[in-house]
Amino acid sequence: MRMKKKVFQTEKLNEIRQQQKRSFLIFPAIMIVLLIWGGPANIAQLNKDNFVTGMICIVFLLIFCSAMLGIIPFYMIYIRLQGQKKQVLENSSFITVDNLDYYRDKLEEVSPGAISMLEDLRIESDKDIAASILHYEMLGLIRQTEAGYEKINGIDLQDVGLRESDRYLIGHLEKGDWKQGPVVQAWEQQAVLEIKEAGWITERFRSKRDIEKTNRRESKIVWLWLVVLIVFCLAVSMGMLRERLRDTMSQEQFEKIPQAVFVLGDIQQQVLDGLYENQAFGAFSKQMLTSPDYLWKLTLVVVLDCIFLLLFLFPVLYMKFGQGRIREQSPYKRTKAGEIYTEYIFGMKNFIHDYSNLSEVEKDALVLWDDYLIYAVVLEENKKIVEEIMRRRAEI
Amino acid sequence: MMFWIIGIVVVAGLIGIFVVKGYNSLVVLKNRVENQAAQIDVQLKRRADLIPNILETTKGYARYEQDTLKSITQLRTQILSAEDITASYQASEKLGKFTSQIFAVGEQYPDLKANANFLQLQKELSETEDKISKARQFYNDTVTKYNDAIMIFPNSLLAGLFGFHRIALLEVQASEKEAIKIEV
Repeated sequence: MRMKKKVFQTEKLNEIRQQQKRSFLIFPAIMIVLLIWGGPANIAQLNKDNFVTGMICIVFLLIFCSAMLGIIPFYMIYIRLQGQKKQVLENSSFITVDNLDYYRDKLEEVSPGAISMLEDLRIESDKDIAASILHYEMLGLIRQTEAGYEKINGIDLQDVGLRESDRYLIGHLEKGDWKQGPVVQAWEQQAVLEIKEAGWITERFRSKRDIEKTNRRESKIVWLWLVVLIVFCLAVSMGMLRERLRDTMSQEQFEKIPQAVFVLGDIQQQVLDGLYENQAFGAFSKQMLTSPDYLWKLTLVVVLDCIFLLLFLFPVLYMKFGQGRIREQSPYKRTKAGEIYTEYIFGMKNFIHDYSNLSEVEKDALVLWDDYLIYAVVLEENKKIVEEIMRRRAEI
Repeated sequence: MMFWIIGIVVVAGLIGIFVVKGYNSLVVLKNRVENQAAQIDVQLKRRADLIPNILETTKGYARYEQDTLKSITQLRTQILSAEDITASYQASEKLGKFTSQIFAVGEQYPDLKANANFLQLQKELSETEDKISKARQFYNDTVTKYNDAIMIFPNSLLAGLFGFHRIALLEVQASEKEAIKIEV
């Protein structure tokens, strides 16, 4: 069997990618605002001789200003989405096997609701109920009539090995109230309960104690960041503050301050003085060659400034890798057994996506495709049938 | 002058990217077709292997005409030695007609109907028929995707350039839909 690693496009992933693409619109939006705000006045100042050059300058200026103004909001939105995407991607990476029956055999006993839950750890009622309806029709348990759905005469639902959620849904399909909120909610709860009982998912441990622990940890991180930032600010600026301190404090008080406090600030000040005095490249090179100490001091200052900059970026980075992921977390997680089945599910999705046109077939094709059509519906490969079933429900 | 050189390099680069991406996508689609052809082939060979076993099981109850046995052997050889999937599939479809007749013969003998080996083979063959049918559907869908890709502009240019040709769908021939009658 040929195997390969693949990441699959789930609906949520596509949505996040679309949002990420839309976040680039910040730049043209700012550009338009700037153009309306200052464009006419600037263009009016151009004359015939410098019109083309002036226009090019205005365009470049617009691009530059919109990039500068837009980069922070853009980055904030983009990384938030990136964090969410990372979480979704973690649930969508799988090994595939290009074999017709491999996944079909593995998924024979798994209900459409369980497949949906294992795929992205959430139940999407419209899609999952539509897939379940197809499943019941394929098994010959119900049929569609002008008035809705009816159970095939003579079939005892207790005998055909259905789950409680299936019997519940079939009962409400017969009654015709299967799309009502409380019915859908009760069906979802029952379906999730059965998936938990099957040992495929478990609740993500988020007890009160766990939440408090997370909050405490986050609070510690914020305080630590603040302390490091303040210490760093003081350390690098102490050289410049030395004279100010001497003026404001008495001689006795000033002498009590250990001189080590001023070391970093002094080095920073020396490097800055060196840069100021040797603005020309030649003079700067000479300074480097004649003062070997200057080189390591310069390196130290560059490293310190980089760390300083990173300290400011820390909240953004933390949000990217922490908060975005927490926001997307489902209240459930897969067990080991659930993860094995999820591999099969993504394998089936991949197989249907690559090797069929099931995204384009209609409900009547159930006779031809059997369970493959149900998988196509529940795995978001075919949306037409979900719409068809839901539209029909609305008409009735 | 520099402007033109940069322009030409950029355009050439874009064309290069298009050619590489287009070629790779066609190769992927063609490989998928070949993969699906292999899937059908596995099932067709399985059917070809099952039928002699069924014949062997039923021999003790019914005697088949020599021509029937000869036809089955010939078709089986054709399936196992076919160079392409179309030939293999067509031969297998013909062979499939014999199987339904063999089962019809089996219906006439209550002892045979109760034979566990016969029932098991019947079940396996029925499952194989279903798998062949599904494999054919997947194959045809994959071929359709490939054919669409090589016919749609601008991929059609690449398909012509690199020798990607249309692949025929697997269809049931009208002549093969006729039932074969086995004399016993």
